[in-house]
Amino acid sequence: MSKVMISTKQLSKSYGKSGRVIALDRLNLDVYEGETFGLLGPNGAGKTTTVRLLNCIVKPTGGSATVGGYDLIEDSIEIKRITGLLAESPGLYEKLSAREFLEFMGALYDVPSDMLSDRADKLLRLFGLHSRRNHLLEGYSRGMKQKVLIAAALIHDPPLLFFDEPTSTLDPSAALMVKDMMKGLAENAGKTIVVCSHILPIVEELCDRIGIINRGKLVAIGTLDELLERTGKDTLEKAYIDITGAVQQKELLSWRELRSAKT
Amino acid sequence: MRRRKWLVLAKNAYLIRTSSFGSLRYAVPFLIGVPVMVAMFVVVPWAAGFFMDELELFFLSSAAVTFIQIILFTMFILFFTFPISFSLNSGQEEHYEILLSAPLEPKDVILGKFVGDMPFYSVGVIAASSFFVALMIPLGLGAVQAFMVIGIFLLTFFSALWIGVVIAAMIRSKIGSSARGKDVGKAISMTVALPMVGLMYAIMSGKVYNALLASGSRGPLAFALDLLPSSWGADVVISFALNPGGVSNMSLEEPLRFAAMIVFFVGVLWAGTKLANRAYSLESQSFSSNLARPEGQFYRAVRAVSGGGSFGSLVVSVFKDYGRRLENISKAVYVVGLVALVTIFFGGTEDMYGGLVMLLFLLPFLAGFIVGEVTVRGKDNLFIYRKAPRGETRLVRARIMQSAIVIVPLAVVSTAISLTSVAGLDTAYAVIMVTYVIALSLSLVVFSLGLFLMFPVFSEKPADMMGNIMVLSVFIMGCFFATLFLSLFGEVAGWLLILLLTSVAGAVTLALGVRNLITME
Ligand SMILES: Nc1ncnc2c1ncn2[C@@H]1O[C@H](COP(=O)(O)OP(=O)(O)OP(=O)(O)O)[C@@H](O)[C@H]1O
Ligand SMILES: [Mg+2]
Repeated sequence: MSKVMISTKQLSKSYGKSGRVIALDRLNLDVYEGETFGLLGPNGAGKTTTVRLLNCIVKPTGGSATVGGYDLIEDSIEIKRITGLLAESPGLYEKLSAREFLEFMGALYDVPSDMLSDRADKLLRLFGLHSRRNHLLEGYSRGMKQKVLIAAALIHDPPLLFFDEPTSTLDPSAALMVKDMMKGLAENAGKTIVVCSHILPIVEELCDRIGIINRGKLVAIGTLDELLERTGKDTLEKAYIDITGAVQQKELLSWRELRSAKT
Repeated sequence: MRRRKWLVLAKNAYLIRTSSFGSLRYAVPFLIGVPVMVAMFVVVPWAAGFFMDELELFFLSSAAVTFIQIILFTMFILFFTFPISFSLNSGQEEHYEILLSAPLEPKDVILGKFVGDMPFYSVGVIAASSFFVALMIPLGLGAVQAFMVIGIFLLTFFSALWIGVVIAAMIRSKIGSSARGKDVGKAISMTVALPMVGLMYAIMSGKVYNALLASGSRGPLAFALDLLPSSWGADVVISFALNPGGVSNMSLEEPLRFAAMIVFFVGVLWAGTKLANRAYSLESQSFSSNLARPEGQFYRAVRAVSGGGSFGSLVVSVFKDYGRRLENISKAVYVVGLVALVTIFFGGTEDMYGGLVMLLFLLPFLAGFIVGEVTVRGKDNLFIYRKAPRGETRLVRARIMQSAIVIVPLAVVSTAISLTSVAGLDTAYAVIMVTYVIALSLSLVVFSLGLFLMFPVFSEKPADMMGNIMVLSVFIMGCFFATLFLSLFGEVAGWLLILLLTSVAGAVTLALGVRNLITME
């Protein structure tokens, strides 16, 4: 069995003064080195919260965890160094060019400047943005910004990567490229990857193991085959719906009824 | 039934503004308004009586005239001109696609936001005019007169604001068709306000007015000035001050002028709505993308000053994002321009401290404008720093460095301008003053950074920034009055006290601000 990269024990997070919103409820999860782990769940299930906790952006309200062997609370600076994050809703500086933004991110992670400029150029070329590297980000489309942000998450070449909905704004070929890249990072560079996504085929193809969160609770975990076996379904989509529940067909148009009754 | 769209939007604007009050949000105007009224009619006159001796001494002293004028001028800037340039400035927020896709007319958007912001601005205007009124109550001002003075302030303010909003909408629809154009629009809006301040203040202080009267014939310009409601209002306020008392004391002229102001406001509102519909297009603006210019001498110098390395890169990045927004540059020009204006209006008083007092009131704005940028890129932007190892410390250091690089030259220029009015200046005094102003602006930078981290402003709306800037200027005013009452004013000890208080408050707020930055979620 390979080394444990992430290990959480009863990790919990609630927002609001009196803990009104329980975003994550006593999560026990182990992610192993070199593995690609997929995190699924309905909107508001707690995926982004989990990612933020493990990147020391928010503090847990209960439980403990280690990331790369470092303690989540004691050694947060070390954890931040060894992780890279593609955030769900990132705030970039619109008045910087792509090149300058990467330089900025590199500086935040203390990447030596000679290495930094070479790496920034290569990443921009990889994402097909090299010819527009000196344009300000305010003129970039959403997907183009996403590519810059993926490049920024990689700029310090961390061993552990978190991707929160990496492909949701990308065109089909860019999505394919990012998917292949994650695959390459895992297989050839030995990175550990945690990816949150709603795009099931990608999860299906990339992830060694999948965890499903619903309302802050981890409700299922295992390889694709294990999940299919457990639910007795033949696709991940059906298994997912079996585990998290779906809106009933007859409810779908119920919101119109009052009005049609009147007219 | 068709709902009144502007009312819907007004309600929305109001709810956004008062969101932090939760379920009490509808009571906000009363929650703030009532204590202000109480303070005005009870506390301030009572407190003034307490200090009557000092107050009288102060009012009788020769310096008082200049100081009072400068204080009123600052208040005038605060409550009359900033919102105008803000409304000129903050146009892009209306271009939410969600509004574009709804069946709305441009006038709904403009009027809705204006009406929705009214309660918010009213509180500020009432507070400012109450201060005015409170000082007049000891003269024997009657209750009706007091309310009329407040009404005059409100009417003047909202007429001016509405005119500003409509003009802004028109300017924007003309030039705002590119990303550059948007920036230019924002930049122009600040500087357009500058001559307006000059003109309006000239009218208020009566200098131009009197000059025109003195020149004999009442020419077209004097006539034009007479048409502006602020001069009608100023006349009413002055005649109240001269003839304080009950209703019976009033002549027919004053209610007439007051009524004229109401008519003017309603007329302007009506005309503006018509105009807005024609001039303003809701269409979202196309933008062209701009190239980042290669790093020139300036940024290389910034990098070197910050000590190079990754910290240098950080400072440069933050600086680029700041410097490429033209409105930031125009804000700085605005403050320095005000310094020049005040020097022109009040210069040549032979008073060594006049300039320093003015800087005391304007520096908080400068510091706030520069530092206020720290959180406007949003929480997600702060999270980038949160994610990086020791990112919070880096953010704070980089911002202080960047703000220092901006504010020090501006402080030096402003001091130099204000010193031109001092007759027979000696070099030693000039050097001491420049040093003092630099020290004060640096501590104000720290102070406002702390404030903006404690109470982050996550939108580009300049009006939202005013809260923290107001705290800064009220603090400085407090320090100023403290030195007055301790009879330290004009003494070296007094100036040092102000600097000391600001630095201590700055250090404390910064510590609290950083704590908030670390725990924010
Ligand atoms: N800053 C916050 N303040 C208060 N509540 C929050 C905050 N961030 C998240 N929450 C709440 O925590 C819960 C989990 O949110 P989270 O963002 O982790 O969901 P998610 O699984 O990432 O959803 P999505 O698929 O929509 O991205 C939600 O109920 C959300 O409202
Ligand atoms: Mg999410």
